[in-house]
Amino acid sequence: MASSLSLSITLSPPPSLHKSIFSSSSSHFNPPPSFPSRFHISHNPLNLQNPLLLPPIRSIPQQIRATPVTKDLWENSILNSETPVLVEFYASWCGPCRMVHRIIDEIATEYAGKLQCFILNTETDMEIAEDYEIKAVPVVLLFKKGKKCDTVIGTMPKEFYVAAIERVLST
Amino acid sequence: MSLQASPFAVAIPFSAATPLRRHRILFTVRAQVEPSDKNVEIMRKFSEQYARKSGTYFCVDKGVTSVVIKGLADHKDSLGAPLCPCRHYDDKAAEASQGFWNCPCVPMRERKECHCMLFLTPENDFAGQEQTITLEEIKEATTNM
Repeated sequence: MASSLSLSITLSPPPSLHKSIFSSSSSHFNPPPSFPSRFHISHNPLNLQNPLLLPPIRSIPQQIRATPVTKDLWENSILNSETPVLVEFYASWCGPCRMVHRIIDEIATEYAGKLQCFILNTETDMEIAEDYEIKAVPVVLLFKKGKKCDTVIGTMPKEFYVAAIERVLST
Repeated sequence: MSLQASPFAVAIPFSAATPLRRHRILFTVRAQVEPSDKNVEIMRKFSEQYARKSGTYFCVDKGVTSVVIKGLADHKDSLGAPLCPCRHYDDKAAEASQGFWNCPCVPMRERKECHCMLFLTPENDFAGQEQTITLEEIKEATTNM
């Protein structure tokens, strides 16, 4: 009993190590902007950054999640998007929508830069839901160049969504 | 008349908005309100009974079951009928009185199809082994929502 307890303690990793690396490097990463105008900041070239600081930048995609979208943002975020877009329509008390949320959050991370992922609440954005004739939720729509090109109705395994995305990306 | 009405309208919060706008705001607020304990319990008991009666099982992820039961209770609170929470309706009140999507809905009664994943036939990949769920399970699964 006592030996198993001590074993579990020695096996547990130092909890603060990971965090401390990230927090210290991110503080180095935020120097006060010394550029005179906004234009210069937007041109801030990647090669000026210390390569040792790159790991925390790569860790950012791990935090990407599907972004909520509303009617007001629809045109800009969905229809005018340069990259292909995925939108999950959901309702607030829809249990399976939560399962699909989790999958879409994973996909948002894995396809960062290639696919933009959004979620839309059909109860608060009824107009958009009606425009796209949403009946059952969850439903996932895929858009490319502002055009709807695939629909996945219901709760599917992750591979199913990935296959649909790959089809859209490859065309 | 309108001169008198306008300062009056300003004094009233959003209930003075146009009917359509008021309708929308109510929906937004509703979505965040917890359903009543009474109707959660009624829908929990109904779900257990109907699973046994239909030979169906709850989802392996009881979080799904819990959210749906609360959704049914929420609709019972607001509409008087357990309208399916996994669909979008133009007019919820009209739909509830029509009855097609009141739980157990027609596709469930006729073909055991529940896309809300409350009642799953044993061969469904998401089906668990249980036909019971406690109030504690429901509360625990929906605490950080």
